Amino acid sequence: MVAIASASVSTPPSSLKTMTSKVASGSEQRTIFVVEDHPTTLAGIHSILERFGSNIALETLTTLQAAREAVRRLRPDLLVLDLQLPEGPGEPAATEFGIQFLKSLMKDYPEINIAIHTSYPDALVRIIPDIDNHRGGFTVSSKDSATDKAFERFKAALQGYTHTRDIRSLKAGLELKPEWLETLDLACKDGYQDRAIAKHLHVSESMVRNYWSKIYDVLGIYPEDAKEEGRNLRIVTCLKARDEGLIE
Amino acid sequence: MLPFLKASFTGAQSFFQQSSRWPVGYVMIAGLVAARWLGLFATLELAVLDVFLRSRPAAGIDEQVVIVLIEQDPVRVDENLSESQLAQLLEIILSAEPAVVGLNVFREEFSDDPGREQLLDLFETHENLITVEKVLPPRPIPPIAPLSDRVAQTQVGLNDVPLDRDGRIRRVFVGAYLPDENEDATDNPFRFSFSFKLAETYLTTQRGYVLENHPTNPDIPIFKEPESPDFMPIPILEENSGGYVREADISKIQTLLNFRSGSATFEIIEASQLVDRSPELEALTDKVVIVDEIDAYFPRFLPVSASSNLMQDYETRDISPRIGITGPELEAHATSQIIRSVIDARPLIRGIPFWSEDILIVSAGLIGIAMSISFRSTLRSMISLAIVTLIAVGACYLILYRFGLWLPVAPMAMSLPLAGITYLGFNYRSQRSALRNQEAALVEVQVLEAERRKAIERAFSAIHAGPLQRLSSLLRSAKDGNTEQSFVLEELRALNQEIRGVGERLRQEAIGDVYFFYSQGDIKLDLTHPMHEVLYEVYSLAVKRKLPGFETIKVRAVSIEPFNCKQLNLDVKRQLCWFLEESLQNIGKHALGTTRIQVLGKNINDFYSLKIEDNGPGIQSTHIGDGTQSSYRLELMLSGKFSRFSKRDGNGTVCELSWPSSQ
Repeated sequence: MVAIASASVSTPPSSLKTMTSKVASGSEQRTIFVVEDHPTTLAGIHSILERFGSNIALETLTTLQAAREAVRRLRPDLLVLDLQLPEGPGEPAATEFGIQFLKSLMKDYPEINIAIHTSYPDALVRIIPDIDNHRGGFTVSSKDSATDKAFERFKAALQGYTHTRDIRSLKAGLELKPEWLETLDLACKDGYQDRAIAKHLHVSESMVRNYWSKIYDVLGIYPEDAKEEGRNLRIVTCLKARDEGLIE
Repeated sequence: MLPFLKASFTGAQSFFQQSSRWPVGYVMIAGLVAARWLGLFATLELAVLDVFLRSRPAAGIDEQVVIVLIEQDPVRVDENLSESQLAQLLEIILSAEPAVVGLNVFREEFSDDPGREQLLDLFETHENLITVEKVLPPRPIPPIAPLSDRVAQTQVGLNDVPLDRDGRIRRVFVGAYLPDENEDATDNPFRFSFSFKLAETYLTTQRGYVLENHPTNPDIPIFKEPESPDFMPIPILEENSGGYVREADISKIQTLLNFRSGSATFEIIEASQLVDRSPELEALTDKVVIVDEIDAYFPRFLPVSASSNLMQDYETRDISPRIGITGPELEAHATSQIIRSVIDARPLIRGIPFWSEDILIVSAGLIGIAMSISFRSTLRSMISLAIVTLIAVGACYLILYRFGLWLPVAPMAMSLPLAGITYLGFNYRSQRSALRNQEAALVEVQVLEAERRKAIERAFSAIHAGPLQRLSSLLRSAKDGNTEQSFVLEELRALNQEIRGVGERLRQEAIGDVYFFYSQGDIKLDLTHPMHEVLYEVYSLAVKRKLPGFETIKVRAVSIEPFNCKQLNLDVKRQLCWFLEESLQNIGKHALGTTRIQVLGKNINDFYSLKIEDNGPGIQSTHIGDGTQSSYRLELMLSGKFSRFSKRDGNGTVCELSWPSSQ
């Protein structure tokens, strides 16, 4: 395991400073696994992760086998994952392997936070339903996106948020699961709280919270921003949902 | 020895492996054995025995047995032989010193005929004069009386005849326990049959044999020479011997009649000729003489498959066995078969143990299966089955002829080809499908091979034409010292683009039938992926299209649950994709003003339901388009249910396909 020193952070943008400090102010140390076989990209990811500061424990894994083993041993707070990966050392890398690994990972560890950092985000379209069912954080960033953006996505994933709009390509309207729509209906039309919604939908309260995080993602609401601006997240969400026609 | 054993063991193993893939043959064999056990083959087997016995070559005349016939006139009864005339005739016969004389004639038990005394005297004075009685139902007939106890005990034989179910005679008595007054069946008096008595007297007086009981089974009579350990047993019938199945009429002690075939079997002398003292008298010396009365106009024939001597002058060769033989001839055959078996070792007919019969039937069936399996061509199998069946039947015939063994011919002759034929059908089918599979596999291999070569060539030429060129030019400029950052960056970016382009193009070009070709945009979906993912891809491609119905959409509620798609073939999967695409396209084309669509794939009880819903204007035409028609086809393929209808309030259309998920 490699603990990265915080020294090398070079003039982070002001808007990020607070976030960084917020993360850094978290009491316990965060564990991050990076699964990536390409040395150059790996270096890039490391430089992004350096922004998290000092209380980050980092482990790098270059094959899916190693990643599977590592996750079984210790559940990380965040898993940064490339998609084009080899199964074992010396074997050819393929996107399909990464997709399969991701699927089984989401199935076995539904709460794990995942940040996908890939050159082919489109490959994820096929498993959007699985991603929608995932209860941990899930963000997607393209390898050619700027460092700031990638860091933002990693951070969001670490906080358990979802950001998948990059792969929900340009389509008319918003796509939601029927449960999310019901959640919105119950909250915004009937004014129910999470506990009541959970009762109505026969799911756990944490599941309802997961629905909300998905709804934020779909509506493009950044919970951190909303909180910072001192706005009530649920009300903001309901207003936006009404604007978008999610609530009739 | 050991390698041979090993080879036959592996042979048997592969035989059972092959044959058990299609167990109908075994079922057939078991069915035949069961049917035989139920008695369904009894009549057939008896008929086959008749045919076999009758079709033996003619055995010729048995010179040891002579029949003397007294012709009776049924009309002028007064002219028939009186008892004194009968006694006179017997005296003439006895004067020729025959070995034994059998009087197969019934008279009133008590009579005041003047000849009766004379007749009784003859019995007292000649121990080799045997007469008859009937002891079994329907009507016992006693011998003439009064005979002394000694004569009654030793010189009377029963001449009852057991009938088979089909009314024919195939068995004769060796002896029987007479019914008596008390209940105890073990102490009933025993009486030999007339024919056995004649044979016994002949064998003991003329040939010096001794009649004894079988050392292990007292029911079996044996003949042996006094000083020799060898003996000749008379095979006795059981309830289930040979083709008989639980034949209650078989009582102790009967044996099968191995009649002499042909119509010239015994010498027949008319009584009148003897009375005239013709030279034939010599012919009776040391012989078995059977004296009987016969209807001069229409003698009574008994239903035996043998041919009668009386019929040999007529042109009735073919029907003669059907007419049967007369009573004295039956006694002559029965006597002759015992004598011949003892002195000439002519076989008597015997069954084999019932378990060995079943083994024979089962092995015949197995041979049939083996034959069918071992030949590749159906025609050859059929011909060889026919040949082997014929050979088996022929062998059974020869065995019966030579050794007197009555084998289950009919069931064997059925089990062999029937069990074999079931495999012919199977072989034919499996061979054809194997051939087809083989061809298909070959074609597939060729296609794959060609594709692989093509793919490699393409990959190489694509890399060679694009990125490699750029890379070498970049190298060259680097060597030349042109390392200006913007230039290098530009070049690297282009290189990046090119390599990606190559990968993408190769991916697109990989062809195969595991794909669903999405109709717009040259996109292929891999149908080997879980179907709910593929359907989601179809959905997400479909709603991307620029169609009027999609423009106003605000909400898409989508949830496609995983479902069991292992049993679905690629065709059905493709149709499913097509169904979803078509349904969504319909919304895009026709459901103008739709703001909300729903795509739900759900497991409901044992069904999976795929439902596409919009809130547009509903169905506006009753026309059934190609799309709807093919949805009905899909419904058939999945044995599911398809429906398409407008919502009740008129706002929107529902398109639903559901099918049993266990499929």
